[in-house]
Amino acid sequence: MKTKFSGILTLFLAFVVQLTFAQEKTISGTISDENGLPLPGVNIIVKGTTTGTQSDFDGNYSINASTGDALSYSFIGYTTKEMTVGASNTISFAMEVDSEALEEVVITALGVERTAGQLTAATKVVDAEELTQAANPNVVQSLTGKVSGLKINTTNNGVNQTTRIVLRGNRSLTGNNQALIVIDGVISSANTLANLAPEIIASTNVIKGAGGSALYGSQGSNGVIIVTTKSGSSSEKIEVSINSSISFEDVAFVPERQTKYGQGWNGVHTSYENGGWGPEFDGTMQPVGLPQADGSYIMAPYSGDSDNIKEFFKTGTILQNGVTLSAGDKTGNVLLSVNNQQTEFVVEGDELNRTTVLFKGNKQLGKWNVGGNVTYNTSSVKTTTSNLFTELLQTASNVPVELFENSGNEGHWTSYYRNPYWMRDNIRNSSNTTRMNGVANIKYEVNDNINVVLNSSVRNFKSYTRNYTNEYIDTIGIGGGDHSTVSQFGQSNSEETNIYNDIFVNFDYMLTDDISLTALVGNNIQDNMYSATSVSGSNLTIPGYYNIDNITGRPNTFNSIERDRRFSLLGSLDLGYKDFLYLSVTGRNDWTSRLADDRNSFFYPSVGLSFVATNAFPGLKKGGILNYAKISGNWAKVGNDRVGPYQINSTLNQATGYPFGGLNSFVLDQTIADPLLVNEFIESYELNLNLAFFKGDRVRLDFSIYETKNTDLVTGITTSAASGLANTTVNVAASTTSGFEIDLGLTPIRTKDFRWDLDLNFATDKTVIDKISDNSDEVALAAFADVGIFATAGEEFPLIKGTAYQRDPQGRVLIDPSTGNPLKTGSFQVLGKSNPDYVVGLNTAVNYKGIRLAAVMDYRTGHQFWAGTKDWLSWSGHLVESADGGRRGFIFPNSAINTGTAANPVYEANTNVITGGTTYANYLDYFSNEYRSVSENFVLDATAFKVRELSLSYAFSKEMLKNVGLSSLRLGVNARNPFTVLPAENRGYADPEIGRSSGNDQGLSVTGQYPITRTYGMTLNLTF
Amino acid sequence: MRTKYKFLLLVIFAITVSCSDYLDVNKSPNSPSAEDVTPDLILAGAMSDTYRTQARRMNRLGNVMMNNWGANVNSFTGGFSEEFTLAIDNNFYNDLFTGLYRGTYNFQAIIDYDSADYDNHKAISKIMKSFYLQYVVDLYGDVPYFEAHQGIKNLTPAYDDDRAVYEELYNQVDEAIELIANAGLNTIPVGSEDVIFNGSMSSWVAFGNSLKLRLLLRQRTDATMNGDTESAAFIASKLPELQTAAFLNNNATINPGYSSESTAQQNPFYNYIGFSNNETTATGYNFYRASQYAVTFLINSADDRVNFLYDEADDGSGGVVGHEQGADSDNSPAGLSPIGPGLLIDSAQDGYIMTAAESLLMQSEAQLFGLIPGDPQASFEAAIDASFQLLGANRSGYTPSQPGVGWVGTDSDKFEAIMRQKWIATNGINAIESYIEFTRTGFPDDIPLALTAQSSTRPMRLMYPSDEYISNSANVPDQTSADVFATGPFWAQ
Repeated sequence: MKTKFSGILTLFLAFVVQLTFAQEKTISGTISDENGLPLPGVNIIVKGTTTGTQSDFDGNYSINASTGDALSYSFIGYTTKEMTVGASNTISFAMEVDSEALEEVVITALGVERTAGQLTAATKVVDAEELTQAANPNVVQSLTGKVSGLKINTTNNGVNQTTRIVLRGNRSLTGNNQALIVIDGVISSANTLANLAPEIIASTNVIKGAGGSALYGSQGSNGVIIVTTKSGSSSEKIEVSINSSISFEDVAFVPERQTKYGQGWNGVHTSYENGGWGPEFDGTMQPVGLPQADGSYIMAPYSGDSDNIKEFFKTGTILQNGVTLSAGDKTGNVLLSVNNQQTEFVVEGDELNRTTVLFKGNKQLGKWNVGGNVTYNTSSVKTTTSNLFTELLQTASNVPVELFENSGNEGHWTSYYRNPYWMRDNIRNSSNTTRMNGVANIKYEVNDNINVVLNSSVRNFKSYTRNYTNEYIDTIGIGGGDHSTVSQFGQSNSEETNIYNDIFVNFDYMLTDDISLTALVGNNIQDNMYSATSVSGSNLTIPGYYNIDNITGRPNTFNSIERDRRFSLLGSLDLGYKDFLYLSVTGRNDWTSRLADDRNSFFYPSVGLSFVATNAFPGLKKGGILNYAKISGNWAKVGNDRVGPYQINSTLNQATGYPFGGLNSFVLDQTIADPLLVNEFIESYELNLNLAFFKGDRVRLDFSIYETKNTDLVTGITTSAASGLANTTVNVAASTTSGFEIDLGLTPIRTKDFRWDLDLNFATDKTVIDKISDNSDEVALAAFADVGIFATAGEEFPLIKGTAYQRDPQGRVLIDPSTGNPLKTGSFQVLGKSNPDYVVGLNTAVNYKGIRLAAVMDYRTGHQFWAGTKDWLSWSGHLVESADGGRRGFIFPNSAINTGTAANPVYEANTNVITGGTTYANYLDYFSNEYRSVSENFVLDATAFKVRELSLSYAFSKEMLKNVGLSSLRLGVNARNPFTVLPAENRGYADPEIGRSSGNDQGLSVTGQYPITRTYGMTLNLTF
Repeated sequence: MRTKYKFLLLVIFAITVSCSDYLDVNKSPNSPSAEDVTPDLILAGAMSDTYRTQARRMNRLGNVMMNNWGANVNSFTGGFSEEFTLAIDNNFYNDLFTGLYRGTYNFQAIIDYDSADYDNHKAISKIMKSFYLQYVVDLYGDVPYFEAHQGIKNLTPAYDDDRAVYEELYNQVDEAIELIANAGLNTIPVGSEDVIFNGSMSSWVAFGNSLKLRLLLRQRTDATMNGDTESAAFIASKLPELQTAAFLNNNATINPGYSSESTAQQNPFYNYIGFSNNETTATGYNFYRASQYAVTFLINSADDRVNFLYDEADDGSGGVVGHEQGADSDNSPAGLSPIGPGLLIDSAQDGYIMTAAESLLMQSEAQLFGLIPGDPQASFEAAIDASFQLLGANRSGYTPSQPGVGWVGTDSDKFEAIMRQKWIATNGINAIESYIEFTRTGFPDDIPLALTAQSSTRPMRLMYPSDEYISNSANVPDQTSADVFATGPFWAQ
């Protein structure tokens, strides 16, 4: 019996084995991606065995398996697929994108990472490639045009530019409206960001409204820009990358001046006049300027060239070079980056030399993750004064500017203003700054659900500046001109230290299978110290010796110390339901040292909700049109404590001129803050809609609409002099800011080799003042004699107001029949607003194999600005308008006369009353006085269309580089601000984006700013 | 368990307390607060700061309005265009209002200082406050007084009746003189912080009396010309004590130690009208010129002061030449005279709060109308002597005999002569006084307006500043520019 059985068993076994062997076959096929294109590198494994292979470049594979075996196909970013081997020998299909895995992880407030679906606030990520595509050495400026709702104005258009960064409009009247800057998880400053080399930045995330930045408390009320620097690689070998770029910079345009009349006054030619009120150009050779050192005159044809002042400027260069070494493995990495920038500006002698060293490391040691970075940055800036451009503008168009380079003030082309070449060489400023930042990030995993995070940073900033002016004594004073200059010398030191410390406990739980909970509880401490000392004096005895011993008279001295601290407790709670519904709640309580004890604590809550419709109802995706739909909204209430340290103290100051010998005296401060000051409050509501259409998100639409109610605005109000004060800072005002942004992203063409991305963004914001104070409807932010920037109840903010022509009901200008002069309004009228109606931006990139062509441009309109340059050119006869009509009296166009009485006016069209008199001298008088005193003439349309960046680069492919030993090589050419189109009435007087201060009083474009420049350059990036 | 909770509470308590200590860093180390500064440290600054407004802008306004000065039309366009055309608006010299109120705020701080030991300082402050606030009433009419100078406690002071303010100013000076007379043993003496009289309280009494006289003389026009019986009664009640009063007979000069060490240390008038602290770079020297009317008048009356008030013409053609106000460069002489060496000496020169000439001329007027005892002619001649002496000019040879210039003719002529001499004596020094006196008396009555004047009369006062309409709109009276030509302060006709 047993033998028979075992015999049958053996036979059976053999049969089965043979059956198995007989069924193993080769399975082959093609794997493609979601677009139908071949997907190389897919891992294919026979489940339960070690047999495996990968799909090749064409997506083809072949593997040995038997019928009934399960084959597993996996690839990063795609859902792993299982196929059972059946009768067929071919298995081909398309892999499906794993939407969850591909969702970007975005770093939000306090370094918390969120997926796009969980975000409840409008955010925009700008990646490193976009930031550096035009090699702009200033990271802040390379954000221009790339984020809807972000406006960047340049406030110092020289070799070392400073900027003003505002998200979504001006909420506060006189407080800070600039966005918060966070670098590597700690609060930093725009100054530090502008001095970072662009190459070391990994990503930039812009959170546009208070809804997303409520966790930063009162510092986050204006939105936040979160920057992360690069970390070392984890590829277990040392990577070296070298970045180099050279750019050439020249002046884009100068204000246009008339080319009909040359140097002179009252129609008489005077070779040393700055005014253009001379006789008409006739082309003959005429002397120009004062006699030169040898007694001769520089002769030049008496004809006009409106660009003659451009000759003063040269072509500047910007050189940027950097080396980055990085290394690491799965548990740790390290990065060292050294970058240098050298700029020579369009003005000879204006230079900037800046070096940044960044050392960054990170290591995972069991439950601890320790990381940190140290940045050391040193920069030296040498400049002259941009006021030389103000004096350079006082030049008639017949003057051959270049010929006066060595004439000094004695042989200058005018006796009334200084030679800009002399100013350039004799008015010098230099400043050296050193920045040292250290950041430590330590994380401890208590268990799978809880971890503790510590972020600490110390930032130290030291600055040393020195400036001098050499003396010039005008002994001759031809024509009553006197360009004497008093010599002067000054030096100052300042130091600032900021300490920032965060400590949180993070909780991460799945309450149920569907409900997730993340929470954060923490504390933040900040400590800021600032000190400054300066000394200066005038009338140097020995020329060229710049030391305080050399001053005659008493030196001016100054010293100051400031200290303030902040302490906060904060927490956030995020609940998620499955993968489509998320709730985010945050709360933060700030205590500040700057306000009185009984009112220095403020609570800032926020609530946000996000619903990803396409995850909740996957049926929406059927048909392949709608690929992603998310709706989110948030509400936040944050404060804005823009009261400075010590501001609420009532103090006295040393009186003017004291001490006189042994007599010292103090007088009351005329600017005082209400000792009962509290924080401003901003209550913000935001609704966002994010949609993506077609496979691969070929069409993306993001829409965000918001409104903020700003109350208790801290405003400096002019106080009645009868109270003894000049100015008081109180909480009185209120305003409402509203607007929306639309971002449309398109990828019209995407193939294996060719891809075209197009981003259109549209942003509009409007701030309307609801109230100024109980006693007044208006407060001036900045005011000159005839024009100013105001906040006026019921109007948009900021408002430009100034003197205007009196007009009849039909809008005709009223003329005084007895003098011929137009009548001017007594009080300031509304002349415009400095916030644009909307900004439209276009950001596009075309990639073909290794070639990348990108462009950034934008258009803004609906706003106005006061062109100080036009005012400055008016009285000296350089305006194009003043050269019309033969420079004799004229009938004012569209004007009227009151032929009735003041009580019963009867307005008739003016056909016979001449404005501007009958002689050349009368006309000159009219332009110098009447025309100039009406600011309406100088408030111009601020519309501008700018192409901001053009870049073309070629990245060599890996195959080409294999033999050279490089892992990547990219060459590029770029242009910054190549084209600017301004409306006809703005004859190059100013770029409306250049502001005179970084405060809220935007809209006054004063003289003393250099003209804007264009740059063209080349870049080289390689890694090995 | 319990101890654990207690410990926890202790920790929380410690954190809270140290929290408030941690944040207690808001006391400024850069500036002293009001508790640290005593009146003797404020007085000098209060005086010199407020004087800046008097020496510069008030003086300039007076000189242009009274045709002492013109503009250098050969080098500058548009000079004094608002002053010549009389285009008065609320920005026209609005800094006089703001400068005077803010300057006198410091005197108020001394007056309010909580201590019984500073009576002398308080007395000086009361006198100085009244001195400058009189100018505010004279230039603006109804102004805030009783609610003024309270700082943040009252940001919108109400406007008070000008006559009531005037009478209160008088009473304040009386109180000051009493404080000086009754100063106790603990009263801290005033030293070098008094940059006007160097602590001489008798000089302050004399100055206070001259100030009281000036208040009464101005108010007298209200009684005599407007027939206001209340003014008449007030004056009558105050005259008795003035019969034996001592008045100021010297110049009240201010000099904290002006020097050329820095521009902030220069005499403010010299820095504004003359030169920078290197004594050569012109600040205003190239712009301000003599006026043709004043030059012609002084030359015609053989008055040597013309060579000290003005210098030789700037084109070297010799002689003093003036600019006809309102004429353009085509119609003006090629050379014009700048301000003279009697007025512009150097950065360290004295400033004048009230000149002896002004005080003596007020005494002359009071004596002429029998208000106080004394010989009006002697005061008149002494005033002229003082004026010549201040400028360094030569008095001999100046014996004016025309009515309205010298001490001849009827009482009315002599009164006009007092005003005429006041016009000359305050030229370039405190011309605002002459302008106010012109508004009060109408003398001198032949001073022409500028050629480009758009009105046939001078304004009787200034418009309230635009700042007031912005910051105190509920209280400041409505005003048009026509109002300031038609009506003046209460004492004007």
